[in-house]
Amino acid sequence: MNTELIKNQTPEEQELKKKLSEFAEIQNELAQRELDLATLRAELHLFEVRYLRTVGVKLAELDELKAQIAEALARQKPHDQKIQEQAELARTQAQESAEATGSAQDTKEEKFKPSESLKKLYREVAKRLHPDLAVDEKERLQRQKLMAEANRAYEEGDEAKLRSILSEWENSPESVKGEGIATELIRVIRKIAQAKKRLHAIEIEFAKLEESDLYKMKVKTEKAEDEGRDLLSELASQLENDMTIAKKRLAEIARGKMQT
Amino acid sequence: MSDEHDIEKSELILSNIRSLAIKRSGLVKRGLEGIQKLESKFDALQIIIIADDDPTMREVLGELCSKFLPDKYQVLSAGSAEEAIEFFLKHEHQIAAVVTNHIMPGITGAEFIEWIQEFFPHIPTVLNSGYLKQEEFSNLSIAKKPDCRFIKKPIHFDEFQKILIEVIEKKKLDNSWPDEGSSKTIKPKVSKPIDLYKSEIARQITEKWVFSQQVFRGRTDLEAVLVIKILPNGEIRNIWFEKKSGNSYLDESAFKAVKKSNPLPPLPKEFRRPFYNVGLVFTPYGLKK
Repeated sequence: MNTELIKNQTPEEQELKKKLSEFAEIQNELAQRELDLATLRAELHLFEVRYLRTVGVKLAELDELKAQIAEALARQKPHDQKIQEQAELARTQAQESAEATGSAQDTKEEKFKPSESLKKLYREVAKRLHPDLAVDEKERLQRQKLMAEANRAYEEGDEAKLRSILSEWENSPESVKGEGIATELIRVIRKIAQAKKRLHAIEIEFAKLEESDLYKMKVKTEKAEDEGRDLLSELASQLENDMTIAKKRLAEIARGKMQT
Repeated sequence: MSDEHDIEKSELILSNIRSLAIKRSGLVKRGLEGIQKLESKFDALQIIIIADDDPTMREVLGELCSKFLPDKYQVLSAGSAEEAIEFFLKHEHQIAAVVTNHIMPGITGAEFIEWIQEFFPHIPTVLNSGYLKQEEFSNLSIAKKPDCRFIKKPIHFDEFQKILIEVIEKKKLDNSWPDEGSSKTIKPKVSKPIDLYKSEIARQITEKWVFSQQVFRGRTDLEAVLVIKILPNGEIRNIWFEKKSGNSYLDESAFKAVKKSNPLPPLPKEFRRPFYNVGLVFTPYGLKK
């Protein structure tokens, strides 16, 4: 054992060394959990797009037909307050469904498959410039902005962008440390505490995501996929049947009106 | 001034995003409800398993089935016998028939059928093969049992349809599930931490144990004894049979269950030894306590 080296270290130096290694460990853990969370979010986002494009649009079309039916009925009985209200409600629902599916049409629909190098880069970014490892508010904001960019780049699979974020950070004055052991010690203790707080928040976020309807639907869909079933297509074709029935009904109402 | 304007603008964007998210979550909720309905409908369906390592064949046969089978049948296609066995065990009460290719990587179709005949003798099976000739099939032991049919590849769709309908119709006629054997309940008296620990790991292993009690109707004598060596952190270091039951389904499923349970919870602190060897007795009625 090298006793000389230990003797040469002051107690705060020893403490700093201990804290730094504790910090390095927690920093790695934090980066990994951030990666897991970003991955789950990206997967859920893409699944949502897929759902909205296959099933959501059909629901919106069905809602539109239902609104037209309700409105046709309302026109036939202009003095029936209840029927008027129903027509308004149906129209609102149809509008909301149309809006909800509108922007999903423009998004690329793919399965989220991040490469190993992309994951590694993201972990590196999360480790170096995690907002919760900032020492002051100004730095935190700066880190937050870069982290948001990194999240977007990760979801888009943009390795070049992640690399440029990383180098931007390395060259910024915020990344420079210093000012003596005592300050450094305080800084590292605070960073550890912040990282622990964030880790806890990540777990809560995970639990929340896993409780969501979207997550449940994704799990069920993927399980069925393993057995060669496509639940989203099954749902969509069911909705198509419903739409055929609704169209018939609408035509009947229109004919009825002509007779009267 | 421009700062305020920016804040207003970004608040507007945020509130738009939020309201869009709410509208979307409404659609997602309806989707989930739809899927739950599909699932409960599925639970009432009869399942035909098609196992073939050729994806085109799976697709063609699946589509064909959906054309001539009534709505209450659902086809599940598996790329190997191993995968088919997984589906089988998961939906065992819904299986109407199994159609399998013979030569596949891993377990062959004939071996798969042999397994079905041993444990689920009431399930009709159809073997298809381009290699095997009709007389070679007739010489196989599986051909001796009723409800096992053979189709020579290339498959003639009319013949396939005729045979599949025949086996399903026949199964419907003599479909009778005997009652499950009454399961024994033994109440263990636990007091020491290690006893509590043992009952906890028994519970966890039972959860991972994929196995059907009905397979062993009437066979109460089967027993497999597995010993597992557990390290203080709960890691399973070694698993071995002290006694095999002689029934490969029981033995293998028990071994897999233990393997899947790794790691177990850490050993109780009071148990001051470098490892814990514990014997577990697997029987058709579950883990013996």
